[in-house]
Amino acid sequence: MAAPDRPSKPIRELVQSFRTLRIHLLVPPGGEADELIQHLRRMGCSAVTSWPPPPESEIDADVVFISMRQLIEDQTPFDWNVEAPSAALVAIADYENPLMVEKTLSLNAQSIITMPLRTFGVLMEVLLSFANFKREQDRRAQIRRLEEKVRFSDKIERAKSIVAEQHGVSRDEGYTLLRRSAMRQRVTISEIVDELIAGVE
Amino acid sequence: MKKSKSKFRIGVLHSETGVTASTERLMLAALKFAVSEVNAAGGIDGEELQIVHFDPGSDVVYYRYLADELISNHGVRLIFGAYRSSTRMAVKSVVEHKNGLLFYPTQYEGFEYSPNVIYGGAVANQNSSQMAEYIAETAGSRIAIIGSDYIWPRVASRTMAEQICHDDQPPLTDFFVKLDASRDEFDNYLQEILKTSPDGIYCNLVGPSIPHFYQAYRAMGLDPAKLPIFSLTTSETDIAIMGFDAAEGHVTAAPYFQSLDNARNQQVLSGFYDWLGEETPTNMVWEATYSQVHLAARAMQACGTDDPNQVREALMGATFDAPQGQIRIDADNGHTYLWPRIGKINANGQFDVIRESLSAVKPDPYSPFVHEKTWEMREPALMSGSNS
Repeated sequence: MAAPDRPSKPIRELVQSFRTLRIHLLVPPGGEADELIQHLRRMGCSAVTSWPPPPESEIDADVVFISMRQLIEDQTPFDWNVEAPSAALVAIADYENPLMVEKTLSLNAQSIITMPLRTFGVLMEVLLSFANFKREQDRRAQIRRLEEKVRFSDKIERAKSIVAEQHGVSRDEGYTLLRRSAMRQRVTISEIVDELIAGVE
Repeated sequence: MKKSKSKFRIGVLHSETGVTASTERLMLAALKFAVSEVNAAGGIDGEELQIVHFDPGSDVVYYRYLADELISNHGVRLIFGAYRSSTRMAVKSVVEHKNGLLFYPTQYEGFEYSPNVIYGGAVANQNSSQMAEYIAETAGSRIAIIGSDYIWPRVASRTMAEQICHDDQPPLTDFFVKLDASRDEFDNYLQEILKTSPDGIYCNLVGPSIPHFYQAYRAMGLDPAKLPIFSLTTSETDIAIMGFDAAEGHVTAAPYFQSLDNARNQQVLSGFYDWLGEETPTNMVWEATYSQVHLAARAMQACGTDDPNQVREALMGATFDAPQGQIRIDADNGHTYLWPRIGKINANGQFDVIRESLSAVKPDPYSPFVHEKTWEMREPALMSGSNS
């Protein structure tokens, strides 16, 4: 019989470290969310609250909860970069209808928690939303890297064409010339390429 | 006292049949004994404290059905009982829907909070953490794990592995055995465990599997001094079934052992034996059940009703002079401050306490085990200079 499997190290570390996650609740004081705050403290998490929501730049947290009903009823502005947020967002909902659903979807919330609170599930909501947020963040970074790579490779192709035309050589020989030139001048190939393209334009 | 139907009736769901009957029968005895003490002292508000008991036959489905029956058809609002986590969850779902209050006296895996449950047994920071520390110091990190096949053993195994096993080395085995496994099967499990050359065995078995496993170990002629079995459940009740020779030298962590040498324990034990008419082994769940009944009775006395909300309110922060030492219900989470201890089984089938906490430890049901040491243990034998 083989030794038992264990979850991956990042997953185990995330679960072990849930008490170190910084939680910010955007909820009015004295409301239904009090029970949630109490339960987060019972779980050993530290949580701060504020209402109305401060600007996103002033929120220093890993997981942010926001009261959707209050957001809709108070018509409060909520400054949140939905495409590249600074933290995981968990919507707090105490009813559901198309308006609530649209608002929640448009905030790109990573997770939702319903009121009245069932204490079972809060740990999973916090960890799941944070894991989802991290994954989205990693994907965004990966997409940025790929976009840069594509841009760079487009430029190289253009530069190869320019050199091939100017020197009457093949495109592959054009690339060799570019590389030699970069080595001679002790600069990167990217800089040579930028210079060349700028010169032509 | 009035003899008719009392205002103060408690429902009891402990199994007298099925896989966990040996332990639950003892819990039932503890409960009836505590109720007899309450009534001998005048009852509650001059009324007799009465018991409505059903036998759920160690079957999760019956725990759920009978909990509903107690509340819906017998007008009971406080329920004592359940043992395995699966049975607690079954009763919990009913008391949450019908606003009852469950008193659950058993050690369990934690990561739970319900306003409808009072938890009287140890959570991991009151038994598993101290055991992890002891295993790490005396055996090391090469541990084989075996447990019964349900929620608690799986979580308890994971919790122990997180505390003692290195990142690159999972536990050597992680076996989960059906609750009704026969004695023979444990020979095979033990052989598989021995193939991994462990320095210790962490055992989360429950019910008849406990004596089966220790007996299989004994039959193979293994030496507990070299390869101890560590457990959070193996108790005096199991020892009586497996035989003292099969038990001697193995180690259990629990807040209570029958052998505790204090006046309060002796007083409760002697009262219990008088009431029962014989001397029988007691254990951690016997003690927790006893304490929970008295705590509940006092709370009902204080609020003059068995209304679950009022009783719960009265219980928050309540203390009790228990056989293990003074305990207190934690108002933050409805669990109980307890006294972690580690006991090694001696030739008389009793536990020699080899380590014990300096104080009652606050329950931390959501402890993720990252270097959060909230207790301090001492070795009584060394401190008193005696040689046990």
